[in-house]
Formats: sequence, structure tokens, C-alpha cells
Amino acid sequence: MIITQALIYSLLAHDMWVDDALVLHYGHMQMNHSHGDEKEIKKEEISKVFCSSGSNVFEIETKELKAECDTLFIVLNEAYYTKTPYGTKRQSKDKTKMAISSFKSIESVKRINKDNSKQIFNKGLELSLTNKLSSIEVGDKARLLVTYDGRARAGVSVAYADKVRGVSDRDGRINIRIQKAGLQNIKASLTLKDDGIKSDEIIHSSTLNIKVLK
Amino acid sequence: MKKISILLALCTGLFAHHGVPSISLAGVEGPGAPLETTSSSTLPEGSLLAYLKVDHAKYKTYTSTRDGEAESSEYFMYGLGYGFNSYFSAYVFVPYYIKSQDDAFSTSGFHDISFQFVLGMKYDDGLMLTPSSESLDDMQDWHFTTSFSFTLPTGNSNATMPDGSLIDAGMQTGFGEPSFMLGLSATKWFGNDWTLVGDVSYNTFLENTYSDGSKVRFGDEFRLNTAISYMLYSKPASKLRLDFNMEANYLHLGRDIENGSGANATGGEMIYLTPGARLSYKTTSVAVGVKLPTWTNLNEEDLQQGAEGKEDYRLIFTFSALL
Repeated sequence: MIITQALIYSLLAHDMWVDDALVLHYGHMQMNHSHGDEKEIKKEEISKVFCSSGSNVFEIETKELKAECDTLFIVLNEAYYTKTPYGTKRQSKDKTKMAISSFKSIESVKRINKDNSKQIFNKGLELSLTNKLSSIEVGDKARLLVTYDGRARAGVSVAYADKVRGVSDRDGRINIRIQKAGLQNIKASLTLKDDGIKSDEIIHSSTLNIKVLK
Repeated sequence: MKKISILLALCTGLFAHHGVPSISLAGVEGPGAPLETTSSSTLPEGSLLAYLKVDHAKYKTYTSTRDGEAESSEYFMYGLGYGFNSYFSAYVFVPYYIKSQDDAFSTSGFHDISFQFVLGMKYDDGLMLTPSSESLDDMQDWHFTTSFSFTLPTGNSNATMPDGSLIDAGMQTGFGEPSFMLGLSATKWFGNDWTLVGDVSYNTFLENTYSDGSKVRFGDEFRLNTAISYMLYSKPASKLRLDFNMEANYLHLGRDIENGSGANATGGEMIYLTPGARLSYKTTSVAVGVKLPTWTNLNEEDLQQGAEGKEDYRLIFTFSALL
């Protein structure tokens, strides 16, 4: 539970986003929150990139983020974190001496650019829009669907503007009111139990980027 | 006949908010809940609510002699509620009252049992039933409830004095016949420390024939309540929250009908101001408030000692726990 809470706070503390130049960033989208730890996420840290264009959905083997994608979905490499009396190690529990607890982190980022494109890629935790992107203005709600491996998922924490706004309902739905124009960063977090060998928990976190113009 | 305050206590108790704060994942957040004004909350699906309200009324007396003027009353309301789903809740209330005069005469006992059914709605690109789960952003939508209540005549409406004569109908511990009430409420939480709440309700009574053959139909009642709630303090980690409330409670009482004619010294209209506070911890809450008659326009003002609007004050306490 402590690890879960810590990760949720971490989720709130840092952003991942795909900017207009199709660069994937880690850090603080609002620079006034910055600790100076912003960085570009390189291809080596990315596990898979998926693209949807109209009704076509495909994996981009080169991991290039392409402008012609109506929706981009990026899954980062999995990472293990194990807490020990002498600090947190970035390795699995079975390879760590004096492990106290551990988790596997699976993170993803989705950027939706157009209406009517296929948004759900059936890969772990995802946030998708159920209303039209082009109709959303500041003050409107982004009506979201939370899925896990393509199926609606209840009870997933969703954060926006540095605050947990609620959890998805029994149909996986949750609504977030857009506060400011520009690129939006909406984050979801789901913790599942693992077998305790490599890690105790698997923590999925997924970010949705949409751009609201006015 | 004086229309006594049990009617007010019963009806506001029936329809008043039950004091369960909205507690979100992020901590103690969501709309505030006044004491007398009904907020637009429904009980979570499958949850049980235990509720207690105590209302102590102290009346102004017109003379210093012991001449049978109403002095004070204590009303206790025990309630149990159940959330059948996210938008429909039902309650049962058992009231108990003690009413004392300055000549040491008093009546007490369980009053008529009452039942209340509440339907919750909200406006989110259209009117809809209250959903099972809402984000903090959804909680800022306008929420509404509509409710229907009725009482059954389980109390005693034919209590007698030692000489065998009937106690005044207003002092009985039952109406003798069912009563019915319809209500509407609206709530707007602004997403910060402020909440605006309002409600209207209409309450009507059937004519009762007493054991001595006399007939009484209590006057209909109309209420309009408005309230603002301000969150003074919150500690999300421990789910502790303190709210200040200020309410304005308008009440219009129709004239009672006795044996087919309008009864003297009954009815009128009044406004109470009710400052109060609510302390919430997890899903338990206690609230206190003082209800002050601020403006009155009673039908026979000088003859209505002991009626609504003629209090020095009413001190109100509620406790509720969601199980």
C-alpha cells in the first residue's frame, strides 16, 4: 500500500507528454513546477509504438513517432524497483539482497490528435476519449474510458492538474473538466498484485495527451 | 388551538439532509451539507445510514405567571436510511417528543412513524439519474433530488387529561391520520470551499376526527430553504472536515381547520436564520446550529404563544453515520 501511494504521488509529481514536434518528454509540462529533471525519452527506453490512422492500426517497428498518426500510443520498457534498507534499487526483487518490497512499473503515453480514429490498442492500461476531441473546449468535460487490455476497468485512479479527480466507474468511465487551453495531461494509475518473485506489485500508469485549442 | 412545533420538527426532520459528506478518493471533498436545508445527496448503493436529530425549542412567554404557556420542547428523530442504488434512497424515521408548559404540564411519547423516498438527479449535458461514481468535476454539476414522504398514525392522538377530557390536538403525540409531503432540492458545489443549497417542500394533512367527535385538519405547510456552506478546515489524510453553514428558512403555515372553520391563532409565515457548523470524520458527522426567528407575520401574532415563529431560539443537533 505504501508503495502504491508513493507511486500515485510520483505519478502526480511527474508528467510524460508528446509535444507538437512529436518528442516524448519526461518531467514537468508546466515549467514552473520544474525540478530541472526534464528529459527527452529516447527510443531505447521505449518498448513499443502503435499508430492508428483512420481504421488502420499498426505497430511502428522503428519506434518513430509519426505525424500521420491520428492517435499515437507509446509503451515504455518495464522497470523493476525494489526497496531495501540501503535505498531503492532499479532491479527485480529476486536479484536484490535484503529486499523489503518491490514493484514492476509499466508506463504508457497516448496522444490523440483527431476525432474518429481508433483509440484503444488493447495493451495494458489505457485512457481514451468517448466524446469528440474537436468539440472539447475549456470548461467542457473530457469523457474518458479506462481500459485494461481493451476491456473497461473500474476503480482506476485518474489525476489531472496535479490532483486525483476520482476513480473510473463500473463501466470504466470518468469525466474530467478541462481547465486551461493547450496540451492536456491526464493520468491513470492501476496497481495489481504480482507473484512476489520478481515483484510484489505491478503498477500500471498511463497518460493521455489531448490538445484543447480554446 | 395552537399549532405546535412538532409539525415543523417532524417535517424538516423528514426532509432535511442526513449529514453524510461526500468523501472522495482524494480526501474529504465535495459539497457541504447544511442542517435544515436539504442537500441533493443520495445514499451510496447498499449503504445504511443511522441518523439522530435533537431539536430543543425555547419559547417566548408573554406573562411571568404560571398560566399554561408553552415553555420548551425537545424533539428527537431517530432515522434509518438505505441506498437501494445510486439514485434511489429510502428512510424510516421514528420521532419522539417532550413538550413542556410553564405550569409543569407536559406531554411526551413517540409520534407518528414516517417514511421518505428520495430520487437523485443531476444535470450533465442533460438531466440524468445520479450515477454510481462521480469525479470531483462531476460533483460540481448541479444536483437535484425529489422526494415523497408520508406519516402513518402510529402515535396517540386521543390522550386524555386525568379528568378524561382530551388533551389539545396540538399536544397529542400523533396526527390521527396520515400526512404527505413532496419536496425538491438543488445543490451546487463550486469545486472549492463553497456550496449553495436550496429546497422547497409542501406538506399536507388529512382531517382527523378525535374521540370526542371534534375534527381538526392542520394547515398545509410550505417551506423554502436556502443555505451556503463554507469549508473552514479539512485534513484529507485523516478525512476530517469542518464546515460553517448559514441558512435562511422560510415557512408558511396555513390556518388549521377546526370542525369546518378556520381556527383562530393559527398559521402565518416566518423566516428563520440558522447559523451552524458540521464536523465530519470519515463517514460520520455531527452538526449543531441555532435557529433564530428573524421575521414573522403570524395570523394572530399576539395569540400564538408557543407556535412556530414565537421561539426565543431552537437549538439543533444531528448525528449521522454511514455504515
